[in-house]
Amino acid sequence: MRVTTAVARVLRAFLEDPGAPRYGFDLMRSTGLPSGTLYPILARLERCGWVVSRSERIDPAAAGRPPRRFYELTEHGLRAGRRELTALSEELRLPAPGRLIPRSDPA
Amino acid sequence: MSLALAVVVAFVALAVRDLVKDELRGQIERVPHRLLWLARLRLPAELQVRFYDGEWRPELEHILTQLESTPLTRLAVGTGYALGLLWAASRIACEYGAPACRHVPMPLLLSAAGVAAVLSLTSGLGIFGAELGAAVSVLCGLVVVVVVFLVLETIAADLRDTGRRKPWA
Repeated sequence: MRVTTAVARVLRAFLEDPGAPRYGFDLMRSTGLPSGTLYPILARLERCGWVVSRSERIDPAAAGRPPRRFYELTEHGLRAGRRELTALSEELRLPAPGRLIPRSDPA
Repeated sequence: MSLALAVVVAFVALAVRDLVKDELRGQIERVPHRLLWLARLRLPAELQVRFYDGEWRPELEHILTQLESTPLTRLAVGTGYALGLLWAASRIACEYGAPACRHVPMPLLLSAAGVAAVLSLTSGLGIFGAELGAAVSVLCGLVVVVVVFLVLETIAADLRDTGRRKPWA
């Protein structure tokens, strides 16, 4: 599973509350990703077993709307997501303060 | 007599205006549903129920009816949602091993057809010169033929689906 910045944003949204079911449109709003980017990512995460999707258990007639589909992190997804986000965060960490000062031109 | 006629014409004009307004409103409100239906057609048959009926349509209903916003914003968000899926449908199908991943995205094809049509027109006006103009015309003609074929294929798939009730009907 290749963790791009967009995948990392989706994983972060799931990890904010790992037990909470997340709907596609809610994930679009919390990650800022458009549907054309988010849904292929969700499909990839589901195929890799990091998330599972289920249909909402409601009575469509009583609710006046069709049941929505929600996604949940699996145990494997929780561990893998934390590991990948930690690795990405380490990779993108700012260098030590001393290294941030530009070197003077030797010439 | 002419006053009576003017009153009748005014009433008819008002009625027609209201009818046109309602018709336009109804057609505009169906745009996201129609785009989502096109996205559904880009999925293989075995994935259409899982994604279109089970996920995309309920989400679109939620956006168009439950989103706390003005009607125009809801319509814009719903249209954006459907357009994104129209673009991504083949990539989603690809994730599930469907051969649809080999297809070029339809919006890209339509853009290519637009560019080809403009190039063909400018070539017809003699902007490229005789030989280059002929080559550009042939190339653009081929692009347009391929795009028209794929669009017709999509329409044929839609017609095969006529037994299925469309959500906006």
